Amino acid sequence: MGTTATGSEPRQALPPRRELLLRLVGRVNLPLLGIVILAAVLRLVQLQRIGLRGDEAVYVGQAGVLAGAHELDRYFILISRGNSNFLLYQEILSVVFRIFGVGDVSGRVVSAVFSTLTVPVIYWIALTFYGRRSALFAALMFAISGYSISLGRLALLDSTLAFFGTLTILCAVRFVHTERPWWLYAMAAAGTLTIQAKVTGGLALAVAIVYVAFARNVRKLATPRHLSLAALAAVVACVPAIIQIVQHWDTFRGFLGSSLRRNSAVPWYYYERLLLSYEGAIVVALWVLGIAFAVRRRTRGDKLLLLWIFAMACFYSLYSLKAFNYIVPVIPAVSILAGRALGSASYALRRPQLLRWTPAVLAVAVIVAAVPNITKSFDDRPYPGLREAAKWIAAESPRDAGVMVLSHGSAQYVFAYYAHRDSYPFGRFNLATILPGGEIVPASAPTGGAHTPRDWVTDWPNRLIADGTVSYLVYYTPWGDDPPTEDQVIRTASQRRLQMYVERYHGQLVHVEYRHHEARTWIYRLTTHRPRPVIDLKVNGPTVSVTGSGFMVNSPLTVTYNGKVVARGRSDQDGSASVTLATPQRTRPRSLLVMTDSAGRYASLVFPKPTMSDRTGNYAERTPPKPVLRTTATAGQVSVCGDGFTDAKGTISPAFPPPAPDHPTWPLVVQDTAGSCSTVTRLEARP
Amino acid sequence: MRQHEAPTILRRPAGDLKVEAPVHRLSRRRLAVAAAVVFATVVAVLVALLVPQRTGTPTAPSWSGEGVPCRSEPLTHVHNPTRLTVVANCATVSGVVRKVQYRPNDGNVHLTVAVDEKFQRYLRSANQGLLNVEVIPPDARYVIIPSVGKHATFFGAWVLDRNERRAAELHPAWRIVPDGIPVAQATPTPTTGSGKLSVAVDMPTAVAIGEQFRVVVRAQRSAAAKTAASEVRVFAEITNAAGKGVRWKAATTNTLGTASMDFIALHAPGTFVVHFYASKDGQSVVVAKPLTVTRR
Repeated sequence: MGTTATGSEPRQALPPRRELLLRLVGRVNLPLLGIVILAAVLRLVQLQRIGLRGDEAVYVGQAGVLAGAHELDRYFILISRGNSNFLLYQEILSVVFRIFGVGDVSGRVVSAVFSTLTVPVIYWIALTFYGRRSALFAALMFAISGYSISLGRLALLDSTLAFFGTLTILCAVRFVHTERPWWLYAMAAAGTLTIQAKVTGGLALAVAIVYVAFARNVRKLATPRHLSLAALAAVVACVPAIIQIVQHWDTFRGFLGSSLRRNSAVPWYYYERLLLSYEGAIVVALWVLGIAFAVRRRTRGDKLLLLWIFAMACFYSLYSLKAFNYIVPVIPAVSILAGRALGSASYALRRPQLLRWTPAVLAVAVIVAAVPNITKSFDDRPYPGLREAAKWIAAESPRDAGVMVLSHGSAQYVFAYYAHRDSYPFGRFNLATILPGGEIVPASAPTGGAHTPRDWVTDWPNRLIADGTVSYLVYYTPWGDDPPTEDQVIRTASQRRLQMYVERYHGQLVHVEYRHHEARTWIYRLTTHRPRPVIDLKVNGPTVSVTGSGFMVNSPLTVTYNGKVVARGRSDQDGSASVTLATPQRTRPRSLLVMTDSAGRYASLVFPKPTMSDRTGNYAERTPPKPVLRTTATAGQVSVCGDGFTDAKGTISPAFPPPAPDHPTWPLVVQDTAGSCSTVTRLEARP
Repeated sequence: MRQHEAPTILRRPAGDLKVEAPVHRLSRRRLAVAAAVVFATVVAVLVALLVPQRTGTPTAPSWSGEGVPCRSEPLTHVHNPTRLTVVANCATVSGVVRKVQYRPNDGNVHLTVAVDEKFQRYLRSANQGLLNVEVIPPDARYVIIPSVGKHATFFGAWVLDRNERRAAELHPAWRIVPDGIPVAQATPTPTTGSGKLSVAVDMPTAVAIGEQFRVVVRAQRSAAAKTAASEVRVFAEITNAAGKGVRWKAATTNTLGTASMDFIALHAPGTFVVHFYASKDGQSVVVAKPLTVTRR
């Protein structure tokens, strides 16, 4: 009886669903998935905790306008005031708004998604050059980058820029390595989208083009057909930008020109210090190590990444305008090189039993080293509570109330977005301002060697308060000294000036916003429209009408003559008042009629002397003429012409050398012995 | 390339056996040197074009004490001192007074001086040939204000005013000696013909941070009877616990002898002292009142 040789036991068939699941799991790169999930969590958690900042409000507001939120039309125009950036991020966000509704958190979610999607793109680039292990480390370095996390949690353009810029580089890399022309077309399209994310994204496209141009193996693909198709792909991707430029060419050109003239008063090591504060010494050391490796090895991938870093670093260092968010496009490149260094280090150990665990240990060590800076990305102490203050304004103020906010150019848009109120900036900045209604006010050119204009500190506030456009002033402290026992709450000249305006126009404190148990934002309602009240007299027989303006609103008023109370009244909503009193029996030539409000603010006039015919007791109706003043200034002389003063003819015409320096808000006052006076605040230059 | 750095396989078309002619190549070192030279040249050109040229370091006249004390912290009691850059704590200049003006917005007495020829080189372009000398209210009782056209010697701190395009100023000037008067006698003589000046201040002792508070200053003359003193110059300075000034304001009393000043208490919570300097006709009175800014 023979036996039949048998092989191994046949594998038991699994249920179909489990079979499919195992196949999918086998295809999914679990470590990469874990890194992507980590990146997503760090960027998406608690996005609603603090409100939008000024620039974020601008971008979200523009997206809202694109999505059809008409209540925002008045406050946001569809063009960038800064660097003439296009609206790619806003257009993508508007699609989200159309689905889920307009909201501040949605804006940040879109930015976080782009930042998260950059992780697999980085992985793919590093995989192409350095292998799987280095690629995973590269993805991890970007995922835990404190700087990328901070910017990924803000509704700004930079995460979108970093994503499309990295995607452009990826397309170039894949084109060179696979020689498939579709990657060339994709590179053209991605590069165009990068420029539409931010104009400075052209650097990424330039780096990609240089890389492709120096790749000999793909030169044969530089046929007219492929280049034409690539150009077509770029043009198709560029259609939104073309439409925008055509519609707003003049404004676009003006903003682009003015943005090139902007500069930041920061030291030359600004970005180095910035990155060190966001990332910490260990992460920065890994970047430097990765760069050193690349310089040493100089493989094709190293050269590309070094070129990428070099181009970005040179441009942003030399570009006079610097900001905390500009340097994001460099982070993918340094992350890849740092990941490559970590990958090489993980192979340095020779003992086989440690080789298996070294990558995990290194990854954990890097995450632990980055934890303090990741934690700092969630720090909200600098946030002063403007969203909450804006919501209070929305709930408690009249619909036509205007708000002026301490600003570096954009903070007022927080109130425009959340409160739907006409909002204006207070501060010094070299940036155009969009007034409610869409009027664009360019920043006035600095004079006398000054770096930033002062029109939104010395000129506009007085005008807007005087005509009643602005009735609320908002002051806030941005820094995180908690409690602020060491730093003064008022630091800069602009802050001091806003404080002075609150005092000058009798601001009444109506709301305080607290953060971490400290008062951070103060809202003042102005109770007067003029820094000094004025009155006028009209004699009507036995009575005198006193009309005044510029007093505190709804304030009791006292009228005194020669120090004695002769009448009382009350001012209205505009701070104006009219009081009638009996003409004093005996008037003295230098006695004053004074009207005073409850805050002690007063205006006075000399009571008009009755004429001879009044001896019968009949007082002639005599309205004291209000003097009119005109000035003309030339280089060597100022001439003043006035009518209505109290002299033989009632006219004056003095001349004097021009004051030095002439200041637009200093008053020139001409007054006669009777107390009639007239004031001008700007000397008119003779044409 | 190291073994672990395994990029994806480069796909090469088959049959590509083109033999290239030998080409003279630069060595790596030469290439690196050339690239470094080009890079350095480009950077130098860009720096020369883009980096603004530094102006020369400002200088100040020397100090000739002549019995006048030099101050180690000259910006004490100066309002908004951050707008001034101190070039020299103590400097001495002389010249002819062209204009004297009291500025009620800050309480300072401004003198415009045409400095002597030897001091012209210390002025900057923004000065336009004239020096601004400022006497602050706390020094007013010790400083003679010469009339227009008089030549005098001025002692004070040499500063640059950022708000005046970095023009040079003598700010503050704590002693002015007109020609012909010995230094030791160069202090004003108060006139008491209208009576002795007295000042009373009415203000709250504590205020919450951000709240407004009002200060009312009442000035009187006491000769035969007490009368309201008008046109009294009042300067208020709020100092923190360390003695550093944080807020300044100036006012003038009205015909009733009162001056109201409104403040917004945007200060760090703590204890402060408000100093009031009142002066008229050479008479000066100083009143100090405590103020506590409380946390909300």
